[in-house]
Amino acid sequence: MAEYFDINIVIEYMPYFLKGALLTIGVSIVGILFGCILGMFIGMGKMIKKWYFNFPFVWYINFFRGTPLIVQLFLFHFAVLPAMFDSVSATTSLMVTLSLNSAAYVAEIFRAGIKSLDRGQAEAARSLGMSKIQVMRYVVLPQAFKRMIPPLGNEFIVLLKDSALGAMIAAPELFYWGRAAVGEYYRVWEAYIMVALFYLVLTLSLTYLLNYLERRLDTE
Amino acid sequence: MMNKYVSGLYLTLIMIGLLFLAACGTADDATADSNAEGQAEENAEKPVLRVGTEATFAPFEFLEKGEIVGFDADLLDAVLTEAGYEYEYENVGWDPMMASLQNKDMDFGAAAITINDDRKQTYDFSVPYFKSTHMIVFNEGAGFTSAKDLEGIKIGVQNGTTGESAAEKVVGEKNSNILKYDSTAVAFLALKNGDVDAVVTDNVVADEYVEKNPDANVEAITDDETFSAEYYGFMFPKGSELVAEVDAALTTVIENGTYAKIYKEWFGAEPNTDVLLEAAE
Amino acid sequence: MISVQNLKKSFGDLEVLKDISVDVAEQEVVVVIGPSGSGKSTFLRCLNLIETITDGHVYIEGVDITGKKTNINDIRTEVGMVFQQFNLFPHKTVLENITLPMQVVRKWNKADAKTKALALLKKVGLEDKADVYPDSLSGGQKQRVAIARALGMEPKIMLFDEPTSALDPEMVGEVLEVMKQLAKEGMTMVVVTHEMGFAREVGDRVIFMDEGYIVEQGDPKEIFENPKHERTQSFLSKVL
Repeated sequence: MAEYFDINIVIEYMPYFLKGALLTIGVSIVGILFGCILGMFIGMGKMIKKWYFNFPFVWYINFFRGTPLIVQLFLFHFAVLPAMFDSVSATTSLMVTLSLNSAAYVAEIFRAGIKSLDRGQAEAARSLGMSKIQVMRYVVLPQAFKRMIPPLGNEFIVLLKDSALGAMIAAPELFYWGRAAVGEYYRVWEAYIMVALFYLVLTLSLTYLLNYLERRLDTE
Repeated sequence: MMNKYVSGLYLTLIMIGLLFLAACGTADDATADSNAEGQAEENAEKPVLRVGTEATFAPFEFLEKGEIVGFDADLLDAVLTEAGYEYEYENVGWDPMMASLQNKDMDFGAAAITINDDRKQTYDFSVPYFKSTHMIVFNEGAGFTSAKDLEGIKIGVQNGTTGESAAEKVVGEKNSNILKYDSTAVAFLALKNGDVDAVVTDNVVADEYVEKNPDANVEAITDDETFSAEYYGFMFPKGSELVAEVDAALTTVIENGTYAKIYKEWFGAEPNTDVLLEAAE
Repeated sequence: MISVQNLKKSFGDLEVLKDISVDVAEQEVVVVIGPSGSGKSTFLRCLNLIETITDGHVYIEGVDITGKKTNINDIRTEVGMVFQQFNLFPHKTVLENITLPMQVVRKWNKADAKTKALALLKKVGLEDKADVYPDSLSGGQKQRVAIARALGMEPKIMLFDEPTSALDPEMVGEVLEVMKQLAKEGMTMVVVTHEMGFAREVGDRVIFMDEGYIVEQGDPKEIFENPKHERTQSFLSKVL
C-alpha cells in the first residue's frame, strides 16, 4: 500500500487528465455515432436472406466481435490504415477502430431490435397498403429504436471504457496521461485512482442520462 | 429457494478457488527448471523470489518462443544461483512491475532499469551492472546530428523510461511532442509508421534494432554532451533486506568472470568491469 | 369481385393449397370453415398477397394481383384485412393507428384523417378511446379498432382471419356485431372463422375446406343441415 497519497501529482497532472478526458469523450462520441450509422447498414445487410449477399456483413460482424479490440487497434494503426493513407494519427486510428468495432455490435443490436417485433404488425401494415419502406419508417423502426436504447447505451459505455486502449498507441486520452504520470513519478496510486475516478464520473453520468432518456420515451 | 442460491454461490467460489490453485501450480512448474536441481533442496528454507521484467527490450530481456531471454535473464540466473535463491522471472510489463515493487508484491525488478535519484526516492537499487547512454533513432534521410534536432519533432519513447527523461531534458517535460508508448518495440513501430520522427532509447537497444532491421532504413546517433551515461541496476522495494545479499552475489559474479562471459555472449565485446566496480563505490 | 383460379401454395415441400378455384360476388359474405391445418387461413392470406402464391391466379376486380404491372399496394388498399392477433401498432394511440395509413398511404391531410377516424371509432363504439394506447384496451376493443383501421382505407373487400379466436368468450359478441353491421351495409366479405352461428346467420355462402381443397360449398342452411360430403359431416358433427 502507498505510504501516503501525494496530492501534488494529482494537481500537477489535472490539466492533462482534463484534456485526456475531453479526448476520451470525443473519440467515444465519434465512435458511437459512426458505429450507429455503419452498424445500421451492416445489420440490414445481415438480414438479407440470400447467403451470397449477406456473407460480407456476417463476416464483418464475426471479425470485429471475435477478435480483441487491442489487436484490431494495432492492426489498423500499424498495418491497414498506413497502407491506405499517408499519415494517420493515433487518435484518428483510435476513432476509426472504435467506430468499426462498435458498428459490429450496433448491427447486432439493430437486428435484434427489429427481430423482436412480431411479424404481425408488419403484415398488418402491409395489408393496409404501406410499402416496405413505409412499414420500416412508420411501424418497425420507431418501436425498434425504443427497444435499442438500453443496449445502445450499454455499448456507448463499453466503448468509452475501451477507448483507454488508445494509450497503447499513444493517443493522448485519459489513460495515456494516467500512465504518463505514473511513468514520471513511479507512483501508481495517485494517477490511476484519479483516472479511475474520471472514468467513473463519465460512465455514471452517461448511465444517468440514458435512464432519463428511457423514461422520457416510455409513453406506453 | 435460498438454499439453492447459497449452494450455487459456494459452488462458484469453489470453482474460482480451484482455478486459482491450478494457475499457481503451473507457475511453480515453470520455475522448477530454471534452477539447478541440487540447490533446491539445499535452500529449502529460502523463499522463492519473484523477479519482474518487461520483456520487450532486446537484447536485455525479450521473449524467444515464450521464454524470457537476454542479458538480464542470464545475469539474473548467475547472480541468484550465486546467492542460492530459487526464483520466478515474470514478464509482467513495465508499469505493473513498478506498481508491484512499490507495493512489495515482488522482490525486485531486472529490466535494464536505470538508477536515478527520482527512482531512489521510492525504491532501492543494487550496485550497477551495466553502463549505458541514450541514442536517437530516426529514419534515414532525416539528417539529425545532435539532440538539438529533437526540438519541434515528434519523439517516441517508452513510457516511464529514462529515454523519456532524456527526451524531456531536451524539449521540456509534458511536451505534447513526446509520445509515450507501452514498449520500445511499439515506439519503433510508430517510427516506421510515421507517427513519430525519432525514438530516444538506450544505446544497446538502439544498436540492436538498427542491426536487426536493415530493411527499416534507420540510423542511430548519440549525443554525449546532452545524454549523460547511465547505470542499470536491479530495483528493489524501499527498505528491502535482499539488497545486500544480491549486491554481494553480483559483485562476485562480476569479479569471477561470469559477468564477462555473459556480456560477450550478448554484446560480442569485452566489458569494462572496472567502470562498474568504481561506480559501485 | 374476387376470382381465384387454380390457386396453389406450398411451404417448401408441404403443399398447403391444392388447386383452389372460387369466385366471390360483390356484396357477398363468404364464410370459410374447416379443421385446423386445412389451409383456410393461407387461402385468405393469398387473396391480398400477404402470402406469396406458388401457382395459379387471383383477380381482384379483374386485376391479376400477381401481374407484373400490378402495384400490390394499390390492390391492398382495396382489400382490408383483420387478423386473429389484432396487430395494432403499440407505439401509436388508437386514433393514430387509424390515421397513420390514411395519411401515409391515402395521403389525406391530418384533419380529414382525424375526422374520418373519429367517425369510424364511433361506428365501432370506441370514440371515447381515441387517445389511449392499444395496450390499455381489452381484446374485443382492440379487434374493433383493427376493423376501424382497415375500414379507414375505404376498402371494397374485407378479409377476416379468425377475428374472434383470440378473444375471451364474453368479447366475441361485440366483434361479431360490428361484422354483422358491415355485412348489412353491403361490404363484400370473406371470413375465416369457427363461429358457426355467425356463418349460418350472416353468411351468403359457406365454403368447407380440408387438406388444401374446397370440399364442399353452398348455402349455409344447406351445408349445416344437409352436408353432402362425408368429411363435412364429420367436421360439423364435432363443432356443432
